Amino acid sequence: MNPSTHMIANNMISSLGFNTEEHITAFKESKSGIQAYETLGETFYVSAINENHLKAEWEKLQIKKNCSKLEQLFILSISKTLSQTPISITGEDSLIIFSTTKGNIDGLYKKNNPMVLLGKMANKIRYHFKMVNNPEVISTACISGTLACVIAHRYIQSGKYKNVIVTGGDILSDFTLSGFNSFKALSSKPCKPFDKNRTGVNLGEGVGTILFSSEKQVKNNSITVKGGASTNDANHISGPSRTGDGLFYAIQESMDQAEINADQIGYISAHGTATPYNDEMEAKAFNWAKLQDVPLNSFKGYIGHTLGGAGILEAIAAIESLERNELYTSLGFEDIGVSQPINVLKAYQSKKMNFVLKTASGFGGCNASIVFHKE
Amino acid sequence: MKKSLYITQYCHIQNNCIWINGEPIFQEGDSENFSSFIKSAYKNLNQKYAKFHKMDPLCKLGYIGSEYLFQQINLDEIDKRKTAVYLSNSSSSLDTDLKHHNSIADLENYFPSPAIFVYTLPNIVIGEICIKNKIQGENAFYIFENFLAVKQFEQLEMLFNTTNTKSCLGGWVELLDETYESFLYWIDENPNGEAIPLSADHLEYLYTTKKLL
Repeated sequence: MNPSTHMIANNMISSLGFNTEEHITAFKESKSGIQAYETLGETFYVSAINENHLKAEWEKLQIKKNCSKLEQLFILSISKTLSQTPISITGEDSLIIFSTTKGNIDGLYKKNNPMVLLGKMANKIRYHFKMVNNPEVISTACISGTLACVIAHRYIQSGKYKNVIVTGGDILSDFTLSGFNSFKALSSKPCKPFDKNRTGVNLGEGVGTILFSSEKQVKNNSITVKGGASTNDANHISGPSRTGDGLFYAIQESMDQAEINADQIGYISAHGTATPYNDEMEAKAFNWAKLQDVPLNSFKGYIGHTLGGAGILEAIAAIESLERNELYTSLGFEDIGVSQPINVLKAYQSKKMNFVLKTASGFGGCNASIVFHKE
Repeated sequence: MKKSLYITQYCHIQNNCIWINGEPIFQEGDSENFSSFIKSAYKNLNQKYAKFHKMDPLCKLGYIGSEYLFQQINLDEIDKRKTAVYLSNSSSSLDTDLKHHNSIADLENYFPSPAIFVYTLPNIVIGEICIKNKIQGENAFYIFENFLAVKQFEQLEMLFNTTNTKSCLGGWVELLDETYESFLYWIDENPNGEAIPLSADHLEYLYTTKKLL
C-alpha cells in the first residue's frame, strides 16, 4: 500500500497576519486585508503586508544574513511551520518545493543581481534550513502553489521522500501591478469574485507553507491528500478555456484518484480571481463536474491574488475549513454573475465534511486541482 | 512496481545548430544572432503559424525544439490528454522580465505592454507547445540553478508512476539575451525510436555530450 500524505503543520502570512489563526479569525469575521495603495501615479486596491509587523517578526529571528523581503517571508513562514512539529527536514528523506511566479522581482532595480534567479533564492533558503537535497522551484503561473502540493503528495505517495515542505509566495511589485494593469485585469475597487459586478483582480502578497509527511505525528493530524492533477487547456496563453474543459479534466482526475464522486465533496476552495472570463470558466467546469451545488468560495476578497502564494495559502484555508467544519463567506459576492449555477457562500456556516477540493487556473492555459480528506 | 521508461527521441539546440538524436539537421553561421537563427530554423520547417512571430525568444526556442522533435513522432497516435509537458531552466523568464521592467522603471517613459507582460512567466512556453499540438496532460515548469539530470529523472519517474501519463515532452529550455540552449526529449513507456532506458545517467550523458561538440 502507498504511504499516505499527512498535513502536519502550516503557516499563512499576508495582510491579515503572520499565522494561520489570525487568518481564520479574519475569515470568520469577513474581514478583508485589501486597501487602497498609491504607486505608478495611480490608486490600486491591493492586499499588502504591514512593513512594521514584518520588521518586528524578522528581528525576533535574529538572523544576521542580508535577506530580501520575500526571503524574509519564506524564512519566517517555514520557521513558524517547523516550530509546530518535532520533524527534522535536514535529512535525505526531506525535500523542499518552492512555488513562486516572480521571486525577488524587486531585485531587478539592482543591475546583474544574481538573487533575481529563482534557483539561487531557493538554494539560499534551503541552506539556511540545512537541507541536503536540491530544492525544486515550481514556476507555473497561478497554479504553482496548488501544483506544489500535488507534487509533494506524489513524492510521498511513491515513497521517494518522507517529508516534503511546500512554501509559496510572491510580493507586491510595480512589475506585476503595471503588467496586470496593462491587461486591464485589475479592479479599481475591492474585488468581487463570481459577482455580476466583478471587474477584475486585486493583487496581494503573502507566503504560505505546509509540511506534508508520510508519518502522522500526532492524533490530530487528521488531514491527508487523496489526489491531484494538472492539465492544460491548449487554447490560449492569456485567456482561459471557453468551455472549462482543462479545469474539468483536472478535477475529474483528482476525484478519480481519491475514488470519490462529486456528491462526496463538501466544499470547493475555488480560484475565483474576479475577472469576467476566469470566473465564468470555473463555473462551467464545476457544472461539468456536477459540483454546482457544492458550497464554494474564493479567498481573493480577503488577501487578493497572491500569485505563487495563492495555491498554498488557499489550500491551507481549505484544509482549516475541513478540519474545523467551517465554511467562510466568499467576500465581495452579492449576486451571481456567471452563466451557470454555482453555490457561492454568502455567509459563514458550519458543515461536517470529509472531502474538500481546491482548484487553480493560470496564464499559459494551466489548471490544477487537489482533494483533501479528513480521516 | 516501477514502470520501464524510454527516451525515444531527443533534440538539442545550441550554437546556431539543431541536432536530432545527436545528428545535426539544421545549421546557421556563427555570426547570426539568436533572433535570425531561430527565424531561419522556423522557415526551414515550412510552416505557416502566425503565433510564432508573437512569441518571446524563450517560447521561440522551446517551440522550435518541440517542432523539430515532433517531426520524429506520430502525434496522431498518442493520447494527448495523457501527454505531459515538463520543462525546466535556470533563468525563468528573466529575458522578457527585463524588457517589461525597462518599460516601467522610468515613469517619464512608461509603456508596459500586455503582449510583453504575458511572457513574463516561464510556463507560457508550455502553453504555446500545448496550443500548437492540442496537448492537455500534466504540465509543470521548474527552475533550478543548473541542469540537474537527477532531478529531471526523479520528476519523470514520479510523473509516470503516480499519474495517468503515457508520454511526456521533457527537458531544459534556457535563454538569457544571446546565451541559449535547449535539450528536449520524448519519454514513452514503449521502447520506440532510440529506445534509451530513462535514467539520470543517460539524461546527463545526452545533455553533456552535445555540449562538448
